Amino acid sequence: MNSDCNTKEPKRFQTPLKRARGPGSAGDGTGHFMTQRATAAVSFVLLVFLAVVFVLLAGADYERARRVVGEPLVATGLVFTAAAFTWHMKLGMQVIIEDYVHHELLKYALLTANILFCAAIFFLALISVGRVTFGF
Amino acid sequence: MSRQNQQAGSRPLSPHLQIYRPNLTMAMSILHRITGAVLYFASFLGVWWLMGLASGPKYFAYVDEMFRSWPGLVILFAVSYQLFHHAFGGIRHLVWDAGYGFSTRSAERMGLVSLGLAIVATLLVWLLGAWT
Repeated sequence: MNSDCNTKEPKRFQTPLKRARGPGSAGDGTGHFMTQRATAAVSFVLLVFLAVVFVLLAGADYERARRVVGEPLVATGLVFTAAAFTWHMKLGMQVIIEDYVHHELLKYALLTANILFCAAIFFLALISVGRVTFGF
Repeated sequence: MSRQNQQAGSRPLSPHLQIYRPNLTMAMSILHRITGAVLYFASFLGVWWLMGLASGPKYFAYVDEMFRSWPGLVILFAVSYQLFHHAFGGIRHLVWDAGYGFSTRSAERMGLVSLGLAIVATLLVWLLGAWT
């Protein structure tokens, strides 16, 4: 053991091929990492927008809430927020699943459910805001 | 047992959680993940409100009543705090990703500041909401 530590080349537990290929067990990751950061930064800005809308709607009745949400700027912002948040949600929950679920079949089932849940949240937001702003 | 376990026995292992004295950055790290997971499911609350608004006055009245009830307000307040906690905590991660703030002092300070900002932002939003 000690002799290993004294050799010039540090002991590695990966084959050279694994090292050359780079990615870990998920098979890729750089794109995921960058997109998670990008959606995070966008989400932060949209959170400020969401806080303003929250304050505007705090005491609102049905009519006023529909008028505010139906405003093109607000409606677009809300759909934008839903898109950024659900994309970020998908990426974040994916990491949690990959970290804690080691049973292969269960892992892929949960990764799929994750995508479906986030897509459902986004589409529900899109359809709801659409119905309010287009008024049908 | 398996070949894997035998190999693991001869490898140098990094010390695990219980070795370290609990500290702020540690707590902030796991809270970032926990708040993220909570917000993931809480996103349905926002969508539920939008669905109520889209469905018409009767269903909206029901959703609105739920949100304005005491349990509803407590849940909304908790979710809003976690949203700000995760958001300001996330800024720290963006700073680290950019290559800054790795000293113990900076990391501790950023943790405290993000915690303070989250509390202030939550109170500010609810005070403004109650006031208008």
